[in-house]
Amino acid sequence: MQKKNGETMKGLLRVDLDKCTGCRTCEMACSLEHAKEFNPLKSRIRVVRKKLQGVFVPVHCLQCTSMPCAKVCPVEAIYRDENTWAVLIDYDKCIGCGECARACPFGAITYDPDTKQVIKCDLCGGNPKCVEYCIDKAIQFLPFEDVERNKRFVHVDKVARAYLTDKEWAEGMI
Amino acid sequence: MVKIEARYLLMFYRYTNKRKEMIELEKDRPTVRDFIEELRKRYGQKIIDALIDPKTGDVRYEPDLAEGKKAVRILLNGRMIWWLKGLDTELKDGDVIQLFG
Amino acid sequence: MGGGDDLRHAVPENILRVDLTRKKVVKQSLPDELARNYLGGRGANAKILWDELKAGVDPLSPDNILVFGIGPANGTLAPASGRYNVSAKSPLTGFFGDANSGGHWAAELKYAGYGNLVFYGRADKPVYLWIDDDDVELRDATRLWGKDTWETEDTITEELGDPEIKVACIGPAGENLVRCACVINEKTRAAGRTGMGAVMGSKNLKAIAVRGTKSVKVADPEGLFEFRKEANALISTDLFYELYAKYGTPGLMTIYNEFGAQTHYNSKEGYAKKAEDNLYGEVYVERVVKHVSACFSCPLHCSAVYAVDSGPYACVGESCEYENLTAYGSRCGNYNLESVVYASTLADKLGMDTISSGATIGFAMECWEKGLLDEKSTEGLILEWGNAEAIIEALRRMAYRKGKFGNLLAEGTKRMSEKIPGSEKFAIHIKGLDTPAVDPRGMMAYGGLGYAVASRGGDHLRALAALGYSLPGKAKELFGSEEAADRFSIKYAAPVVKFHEEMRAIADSLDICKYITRTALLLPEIMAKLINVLTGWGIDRAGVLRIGERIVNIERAFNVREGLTRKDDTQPERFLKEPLKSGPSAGHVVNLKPMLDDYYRLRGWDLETGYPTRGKLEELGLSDVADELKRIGRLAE
Repeated sequence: MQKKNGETMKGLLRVDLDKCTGCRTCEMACSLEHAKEFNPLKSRIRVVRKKLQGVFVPVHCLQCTSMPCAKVCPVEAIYRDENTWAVLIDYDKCIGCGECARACPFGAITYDPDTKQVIKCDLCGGNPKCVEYCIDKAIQFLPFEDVERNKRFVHVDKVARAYLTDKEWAEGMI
Repeated sequence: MVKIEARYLLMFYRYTNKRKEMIELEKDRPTVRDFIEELRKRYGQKIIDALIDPKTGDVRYEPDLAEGKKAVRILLNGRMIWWLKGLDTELKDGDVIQLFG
Repeated sequence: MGGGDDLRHAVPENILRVDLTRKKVVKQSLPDELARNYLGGRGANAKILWDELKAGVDPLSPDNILVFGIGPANGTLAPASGRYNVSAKSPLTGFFGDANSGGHWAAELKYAGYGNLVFYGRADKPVYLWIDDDDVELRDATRLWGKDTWETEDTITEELGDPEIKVACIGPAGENLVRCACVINEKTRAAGRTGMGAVMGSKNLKAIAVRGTKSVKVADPEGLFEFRKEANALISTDLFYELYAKYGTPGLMTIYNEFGAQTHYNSKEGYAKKAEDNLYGEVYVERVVKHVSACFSCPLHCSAVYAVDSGPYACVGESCEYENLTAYGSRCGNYNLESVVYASTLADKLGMDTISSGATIGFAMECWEKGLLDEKSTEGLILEWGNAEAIIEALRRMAYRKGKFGNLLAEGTKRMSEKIPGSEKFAIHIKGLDTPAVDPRGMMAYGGLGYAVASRGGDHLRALAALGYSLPGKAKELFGSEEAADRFSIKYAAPVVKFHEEMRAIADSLDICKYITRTALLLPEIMAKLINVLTGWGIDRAGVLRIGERIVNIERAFNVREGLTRKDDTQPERFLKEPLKSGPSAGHVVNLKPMLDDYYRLRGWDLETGYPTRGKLEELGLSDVADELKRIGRLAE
């Protein structure tokens, strides 16, 4: 569902926390794509693993509508890409002050240790690499307008289970 | 009439919603093929698609990457039917068929 | 790691040599030939030990050398690239000791820039090593000594102020030199077998804490992207995918019990109906699993966070494996799942190998059954089959060498059986290492031959010859006959085991997890592709098998130098003489001689002595190894 007829889709990343196993493949795909090398510090998606609590959360830019990062940028280097809906950094203007990183409520903006510039998820121009390599689709790229649509389907599956026979269930489910 | 026990190990639970059950097969000398047909009657085509490769008519011993179908095994009393007579293996009263994948 | 264009790709930059006696740390560039000839990980460890360890040392003395190793694949998009190996002379077997563990510690070490950590001597007081990229420090661990592995990790990460620090450490068992003590990283991952934790404890080395922030470059990034895509597709359609991904290794309890090749009651039985509703993977998932979890970069995510919410076995943990369900469960006649899971967490905290500790207790239970042990000699432990409380108490006593009996347990099955006349017949170990969950009488290649010849002793992972039910189509292609896929085949056991041992050595040296190569990525062509996109070496199928064969042979040479001969490549009497009585594998014994003869012929080792021949060693570029063996009169010419 990424590029359609050469046009990029307006979408958002969405993580299913029940599915994320904390493997960090997304970090590897992201850092290789953007920096051509492997380093979690260069990944724009970072998994926080609280293993014994069974909580694994990939943290990434949520492309917030109100863009608190853009609001605090002293040189107006942060802007919205109209094609992909991603919030992007103009590196020609960026002075590396880090105010955006401070403003982000999620810690989704970080520093590249080598370039010393701030980095954040740019949705890979509309075809996110992390989504491509997550084998269980724990992270998906979903239409901006309906990013939580899967919830409705999951809910209906639960309801349907109560009403169908084993065979009906088997035929329809898989 | 032959009574056998069918065990739906691991992945196969999804298709049947049970781990095992006793099944009566009508014929006097039923084969594994007859058992498969009985599965289709009870659980529909989806479980058959998982078990049998339509291209060969035999068990899906190898995965089908293009179709995204996993490899599976059918065991009779703990022995792969591959080493017996495959789908034509005859079943006797009290046999245990194990589906695994 | 490959700073410029043509510097090494993917291969770790440095080796760290730590003299614990003098408290000196030296960083050296990792030699190119070490990577080219041995890849890294287990292979590099074996080479370092061959080169540097004197023969005949006491494994618990300062003369032993402890090596940690990772390889080119770690810390990259290579699938399941979170593994590391720890090696030394084993205090349990006296032969090549080696253990492999998952989690994320290995990736962290790669980002810090080290391929091998080599520890010599003994510190005069407990210390731990803190690796922070280029800054390496030996720090005082007196406060940590006595803490279990969970407390140790928490204390270190708090003291150093960074929750992303990865810690590998020992618990009380390692400190007390329990022979099966292991190394635990991230609280729940175990470098379990052969007593590496005891070696670490004997050096007063409590932990290794790592934080790495450097980058890893590979030769062909696009190629690696492509490889991973293909690997994901192969893995997700594999026969074992659902088993591992949804049930974890506990799914193997289902499979092997249904095969009738499962260890019950110290290998007296191969099948038990009771296991179905108590220990099968389906039951495990339903009753105790809270969330699936994964090691670094792994698409298989065969692990899970588990918890027992209330009752006497309330606990939390991760990675309660099939081997644990066997060790504390079926092997001891214990079918109480919650107690097994509790024991699993306890073993992690204490830092003990679950397979060996469970096997020693199972052995003690058979001694009890046969009247060779009683309440007096066990100092109050009622070692009746299935007594979960006794299993748990035995583990505690073992870890602390508490009492005469606890001390006896801590010495391991082999030494214990030497002190209990009449018990040797059912001491189920090979070379002193307790055999694992799968009963070899139901799996000839995997267990019958595989366990007998494994370099570290009674072990399933050196070969993991899973061909038996995995690739019948491939069997003919690889070995010339479909019969090679028959789990009862004796005729094809040798070529099957040889091939698998080489591929497992490759996985252990890249340091990726063998489970993704169990069937899907098993082939040398595929591993060659991975090695090439990582390193750019342009290796081919034959080159891959050659490296694997070299690693197997250098481990063999190490063992021969330590006194191994053909008589050590054996099976416990039970497997050779007592057929299983019930279940689908009933009636079989291991007919070892023909398989072993075939295997030695294929390996180029002498039939009578089991020594490698000069011809074979020279073929692998190991003429100096041949010279050394000749010097001590243990080379077959």
